[in-house]
Amino acid sequence: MRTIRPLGPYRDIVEALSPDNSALVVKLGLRTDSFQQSVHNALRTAIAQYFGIVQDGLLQAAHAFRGLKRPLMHGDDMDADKSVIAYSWRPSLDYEWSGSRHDGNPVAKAPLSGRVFVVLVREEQPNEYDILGSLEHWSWIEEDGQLRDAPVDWKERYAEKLWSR
Amino acid sequence: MNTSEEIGGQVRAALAGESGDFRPCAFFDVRLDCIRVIVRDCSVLEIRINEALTVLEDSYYQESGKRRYIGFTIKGAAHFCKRNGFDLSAPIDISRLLDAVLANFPGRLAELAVDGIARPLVEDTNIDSVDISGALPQPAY
Repeated sequence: MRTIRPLGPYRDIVEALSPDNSALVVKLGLRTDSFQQSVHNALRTAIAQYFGIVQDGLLQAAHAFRGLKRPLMHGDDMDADKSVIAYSWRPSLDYEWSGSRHDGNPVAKAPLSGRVFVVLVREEQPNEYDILGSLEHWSWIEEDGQLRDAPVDWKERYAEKLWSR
Repeated sequence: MNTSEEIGGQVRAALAGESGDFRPCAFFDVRLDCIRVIVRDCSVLEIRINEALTVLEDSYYQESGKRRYIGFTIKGAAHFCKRNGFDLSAPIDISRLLDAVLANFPGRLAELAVDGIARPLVEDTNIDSVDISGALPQPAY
């Protein structure tokens, strides 16, 4: 397992397929302040899913979507919903924390069928770190009935599908 | 392949210095503009109710035998609160916020989600309010 790669405001850097071209690989960052939210609230399962599913799994994404179909205000940006990318795929394992914080461990589980894993990324302004976007949230969602490996009702959730593979 | 022990080590390292165990919580996710209420730390299936509300189901509730729904998310929270006259600078009463969600997004499914899932969660765990002041413009230093 690789160690984390901190860089500037990012706790870790991961690779993903470019939202605009699935043949290209880009860098995404996990912002320290976003990660601290999970740490502060002791959300061990979400953190375990990051290390077990997201960190090396994003390159397996089957679909990418752009734009959340719901209001999203960030600072002065009233249209921040337009700059969110969603990646989805079906990982082979899920992880759930079991036990105490001292002697517990994540338990690897086979995901239930009909579920996909979705990672939300906010596109960032070009910066000195060459990071295209920041990882903001990840979770399981029911799979769409027509588009395999995509979240259910994806047309209701996202403004556009960027690619599938 | 990462082993559970290796991942566990990473998680413990990430939480080094944090003394607390998980407790039911409500917090504002400023970068995705949403309020997250979570009463148990487990793998979650997110179920979208409408553009404002998502409920969180324990991915493995059938095997765990525990409570099926373990949280909810109010999306577009800053937008929504401003439009409905909430003061973003003060803690927001979650019960009032749920009233406003129902008023703005009526329907049987929303009623079931709010009255059948969200309200019992906050009442059972005494989560009264949430601070979303992070949505306000931050002073420049």
